[in-house]
Amino acid sequence: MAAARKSAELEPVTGGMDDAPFCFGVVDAEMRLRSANRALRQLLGAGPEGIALELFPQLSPELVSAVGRAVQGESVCGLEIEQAGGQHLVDCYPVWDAPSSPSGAAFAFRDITSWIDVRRRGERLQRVSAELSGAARIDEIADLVLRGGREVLDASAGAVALLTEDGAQLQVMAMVGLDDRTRQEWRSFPLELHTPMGDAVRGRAPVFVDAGEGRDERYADLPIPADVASASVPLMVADRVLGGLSFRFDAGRTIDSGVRGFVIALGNQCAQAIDRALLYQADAAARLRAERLADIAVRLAAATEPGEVAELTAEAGLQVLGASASAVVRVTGERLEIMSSRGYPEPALAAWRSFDRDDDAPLAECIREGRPIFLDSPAEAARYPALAAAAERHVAWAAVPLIAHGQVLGALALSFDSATALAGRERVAINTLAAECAHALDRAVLSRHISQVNQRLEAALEAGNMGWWEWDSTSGRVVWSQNLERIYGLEPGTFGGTYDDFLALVHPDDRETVSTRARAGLDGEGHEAEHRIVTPDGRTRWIDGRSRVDRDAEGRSTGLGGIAIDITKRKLVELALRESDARFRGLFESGVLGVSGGCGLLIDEANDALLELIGYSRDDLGERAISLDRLIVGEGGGLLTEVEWNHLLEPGWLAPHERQYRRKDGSSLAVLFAAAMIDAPSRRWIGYALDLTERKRDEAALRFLADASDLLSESLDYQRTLQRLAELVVPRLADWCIVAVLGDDGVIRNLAVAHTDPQKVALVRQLEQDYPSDPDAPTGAPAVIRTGHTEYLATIPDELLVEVSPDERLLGILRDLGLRSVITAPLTARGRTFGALSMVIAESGRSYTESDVQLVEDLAHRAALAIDNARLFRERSAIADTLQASLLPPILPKVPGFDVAAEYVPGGDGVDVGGDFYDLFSTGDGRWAVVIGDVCGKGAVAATLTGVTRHTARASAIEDDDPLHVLGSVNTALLRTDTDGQIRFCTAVVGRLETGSPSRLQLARAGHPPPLVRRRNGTVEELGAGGTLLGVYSDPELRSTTTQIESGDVVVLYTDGVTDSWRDAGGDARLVELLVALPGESSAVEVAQRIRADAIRARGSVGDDMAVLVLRAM
Amino acid sequence: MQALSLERRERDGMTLIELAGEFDLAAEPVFHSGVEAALSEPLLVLDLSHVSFMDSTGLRLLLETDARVRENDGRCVIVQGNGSVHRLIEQGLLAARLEVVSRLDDVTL
Repeated sequence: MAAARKSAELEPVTGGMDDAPFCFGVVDAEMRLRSANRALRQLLGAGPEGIALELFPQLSPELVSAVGRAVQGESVCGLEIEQAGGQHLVDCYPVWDAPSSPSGAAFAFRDITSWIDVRRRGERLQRVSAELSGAARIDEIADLVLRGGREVLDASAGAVALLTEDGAQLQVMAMVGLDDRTRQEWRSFPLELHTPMGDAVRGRAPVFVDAGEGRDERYADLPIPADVASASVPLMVADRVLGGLSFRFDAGRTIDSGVRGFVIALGNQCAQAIDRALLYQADAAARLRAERLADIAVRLAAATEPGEVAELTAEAGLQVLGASASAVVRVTGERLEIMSSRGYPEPALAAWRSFDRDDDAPLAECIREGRPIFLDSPAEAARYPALAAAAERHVAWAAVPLIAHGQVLGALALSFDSATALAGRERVAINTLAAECAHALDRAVLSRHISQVNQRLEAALEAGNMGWWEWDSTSGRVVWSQNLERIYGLEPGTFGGTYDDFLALVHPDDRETVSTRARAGLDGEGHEAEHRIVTPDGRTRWIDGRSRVDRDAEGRSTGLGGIAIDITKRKLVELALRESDARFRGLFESGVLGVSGGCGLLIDEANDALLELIGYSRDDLGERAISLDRLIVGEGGGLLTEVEWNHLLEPGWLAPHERQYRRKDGSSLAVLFAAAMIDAPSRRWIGYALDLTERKRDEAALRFLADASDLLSESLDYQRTLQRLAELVVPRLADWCIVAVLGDDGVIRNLAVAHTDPQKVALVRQLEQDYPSDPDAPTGAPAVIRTGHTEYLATIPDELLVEVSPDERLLGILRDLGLRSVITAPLTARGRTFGALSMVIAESGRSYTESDVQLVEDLAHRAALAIDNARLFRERSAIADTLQASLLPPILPKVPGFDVAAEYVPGGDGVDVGGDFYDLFSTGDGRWAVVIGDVCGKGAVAATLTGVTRHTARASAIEDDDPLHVLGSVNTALLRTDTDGQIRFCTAVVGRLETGSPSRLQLARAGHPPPLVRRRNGTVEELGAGGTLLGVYSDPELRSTTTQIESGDVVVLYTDGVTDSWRDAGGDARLVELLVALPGESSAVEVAQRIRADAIRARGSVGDDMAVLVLRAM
Repeated sequence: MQALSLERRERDGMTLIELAGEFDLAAEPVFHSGVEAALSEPLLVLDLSHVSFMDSTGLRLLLETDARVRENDGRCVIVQGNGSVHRLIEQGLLAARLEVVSRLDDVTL
């Protein structure tokens, strides 16, 4: 029986195993092979059954030993062994006929050599893709791809190439395994050339070329050996082809499906990484330029000299905008003058110097028409003959007018070597630079003018000023201050304004002297001349004129600027003292001056004017009670100093100087005091005094205006500035100061109200609410805003109060306020009146005079300019908003089953780019990544980090959307980003939303405030758990939590800018309250806008950036 | 808005700097000028329990100060109080990274 069995053929295996694609066999307890399936029979060769397993040379001892263990009752699964030149996976298990011991064992094994290859490639692919996610540069990516691919595929060479911008060439980014010559020759090649890579790129499909006989004849012309095989794939993202990837294999390799699959997968990874890097580069370049522009804007704003502005702008044209030549020209009369230039040859500049506004050249045209001219090519430039010579050097041109306050000041000219320099966003950048330059130029000219005026005012103050003037010698124009007209006896505004008009007013006998000295002053440093004038009513006055010469940037004198002092009184006194007693008496009694005579220190006679000044009676004089040491308060409180007495005794006179008089009632008075000795031996003298009260007040007003100007130029937040200005006015110049401004909506609002008593300020605020301003009112701010004319009431009659009060209550309040005198001046800038400044006297009881009107108008004028400047500044800050917007997703995607919305508000003064960002994007299969974050800080570094964070979050989420993975990747990327050694961190929330019913939201937080969810039933919950902020520590502690989101739930993600707005109004709790109070069916947009509006209301105009992202499950 | 004020005193072997007011971007110059001279002290205690508001700039300044004191082999202890300072430290899980205590009395020498 046993023998018969021994000779029997090996039995097939039943139960479907016979056809299985792996070897399967059964042995008995003695390890003899009892049955085998077809695969095993083929391996072992047909043979009799019952042969001991160890006798088959095809089976390895390891396999036999594993089967042996199975016969002993042990299952052996998943064993990998070397056998018959390949790797095999083995499973063995005992066969039980009876429970005591196995009756044998079954075993199965299969060749898994190719699987291992696949597995190895898969692992390598994963590793490459992980490395790629960290690579930012294209050459780095190409290198990683080639090294990884070559190692796995055992390829001899490889290359990555990208299409050039025009799509005609393939430019090699990296090559491996090729000799230097090939590398040089194939650095770039036409796409049209028949190459495997070129065909793959053109055909948008892989091209595999096998070695040897079957080789494709298309490539016979290429210098590639016949036994070389190659695999080429296009690098594509969506339907965009970026370039190609090729590998080359030596020695007759064929390209099996494993290799094909790997190369295709590697190509996909490579394309995505390159696409990301390209996007990032483009973004980085735009960001860099925007940063540089912002930097230039700051430096331009700080420039105080027009020349400096021009230099900065011309330099920025090259450094920031990439021009090869640049120039800034200004309009002077009908000609153009070059202020600064870079890169233009001297002949070209010489041609421009003789430019005319009417020339047929782009520069002249852009100035004439007030719009930029962009010429993209020499063909376009052909319509300007002036550019014919330039076409040899450059290929594109821009001429942009410099416009400030609607006036063309000059132009910016740029020439480029490359036509791509004038694409859309470059034009925006050029226009931005021109606008910044124009405003800076305008400011610099203005500030130079103001500083000149201020210098003159100060000079006038020092000299005991009366009026200032400016003479432009080239045009012959003469500008006078208003008080100079008064000195000359002219009505305000009637001075003719030319040098000849001035000369006509000079006394005929003095004209020649004045003219000669002024001309000489023009060639020197200025002039000094005492001369007479004749007023229109025929009186002669004495003028002391002094000037300094004005110079332009090259140091050429352009005119004189100076002061004129009315010295008639001094001259009269001199004359009086010199001339007859009768005339002296006449003057003595005239009352112009206080005159006294005395002996030693005693005053024994005085005219009425002096008595009135010092408050003594003639009887007091009779008692000889007044001595100089009682009257004159010297510097140390004493009488005339010894030096002054000696002065008076020796030359016989004491020059006029300022003194304080002590009046009889103890009050003091500023006077100009002079004296002359009539008879030295008897110590008899005569003195005169001029009341300086009026002049002191003028001085105070001028000083006040200087203070106000400083204040107005300090800040661009004009609302706050106006309030401070109003507070500066009160109580110095008024009991009340109110600044009212006409809004875009036609409503007049009080932007600033000041009074020493805060309750009265509150009262006015309340009245403004109860009695809104009527824009058609016949008097007050509305009338001034309408007409642009100042309103001045020395006294406010009661009838006026009755007229403006619609009811008894208001009339009662106004009467109680005791308003006495008012001046309301218009706020006018650039020809438009948009508000009014009112100063009111009430309880302090004074009245305004005509001379105060000028002061209020001057103040209003400066305030108007400050407001106007602030408005211009706001326009500029819009640029920064645009930049920030480029870091945010422009449009949120549609998420099925969800209603989503976002709000973003830039912070601070609006010029710096902040660090808040958010993102929402699909990661496939109904899954979405939700990101919100806040990078600490502002400006350039913050913008860079925001970019890094956002791109990393996106890239890593597409790879693996687990929030922990995404946050980990961001942390690593931030740690690697250079921050100049400063600590810079980022807080963020990353979520994975799986849509469905219900949806699930998995969230992880890194140092970020918790997102909130408002459930359908109105309860509000915090989401996520605390986690380490990012960018500081290499081992952040992060946890994720998952919550269900059901229909009607609203998820709110936000940055701390939102809750910090409520720092004084509940903070985080305020947001919860707001969500609890939401109307049930609010859309995502409504929720986001409500949060934004409430936060802005709480924080005012100044605050941090804020971002809100709202998702509502429908 | 209340500007940040700093007061430094030496006490029980520690250099104590008490901060009061709002600790934000506007406070950066004041903070630097007040803390600069204390960075090489062996034990620097920043008492923030009277800080009414702190934002991410304040937090960055704390992290920087801590790093610089450690560079000098010193200790930097932060008294966090229980307002917004506490909340930011908790949100960023910084109690595990910085030496943070709740009250001044809890500072160990």
